[in-house]
Amino acid sequence: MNSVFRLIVFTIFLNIATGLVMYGVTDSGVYGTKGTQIFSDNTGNTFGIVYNESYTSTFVGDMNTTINPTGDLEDRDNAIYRVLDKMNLGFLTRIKDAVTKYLFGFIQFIQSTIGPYMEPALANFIFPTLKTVIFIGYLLGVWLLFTGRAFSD
Amino acid sequence: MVCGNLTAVCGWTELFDGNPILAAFTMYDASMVGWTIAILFIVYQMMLFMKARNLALNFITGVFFLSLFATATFIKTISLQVMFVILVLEMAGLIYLWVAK
Repeated sequence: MNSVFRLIVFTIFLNIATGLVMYGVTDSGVYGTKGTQIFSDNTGNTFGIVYNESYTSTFVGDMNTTINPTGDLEDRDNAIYRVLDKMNLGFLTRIKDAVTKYLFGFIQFIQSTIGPYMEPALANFIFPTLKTVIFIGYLLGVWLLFTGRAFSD
Repeated sequence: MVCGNLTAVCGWTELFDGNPILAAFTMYDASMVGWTIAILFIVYQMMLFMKARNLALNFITGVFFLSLFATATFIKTISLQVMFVILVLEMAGLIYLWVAK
């Protein structure tokens, strides 16, 4: 498996693991109150990582909305083809918007964990650079998926 | 006192009370600005991983450690965040090994 696809899978698992640790790790009751969630949202021990359902809204909400063609359809002959083209393009655009939020989730995780401890100038430089590197990796991965052979072959 | 103004950070009070472990903890904790527990946690996790190479063991012992000490008064909130990230990384690694390997 290409390394970038491993990274996508690991990012999704990071998301799951964050939720599990936030809701699963509780106090034993020796020094504190038994059953208290140590890393829940309201304790502030989560580096600002908040686990909620809003992150799926681009998949759940935007994907269900109607796609309307923009502008007038003056060429009546090819109207149906133009509508179909725009529907396909709009759907692809929405998938792209939804997926890009997840493609760089690993970088965002690193950014939210160690980013606040870095100089702002360095953080503003290093994380977009990392996203660019990952993006090049994705391009090579897409090349691998389309052609069936690695770029370096 | 022996340490002058540094009595509170030297642990002499705890030592004279007959608590050598608490005295040592106070001394280290003062020198590490409250990060002793986090450093112990990180060092222990690294040593365990280097020796056993067992992520599940790491995660479970980390959970034990945190469930014992996380809400204690002598632990810093900021160090809890570091432990949170370590636990999340271990858990994600575990799920990856279980599912995608």
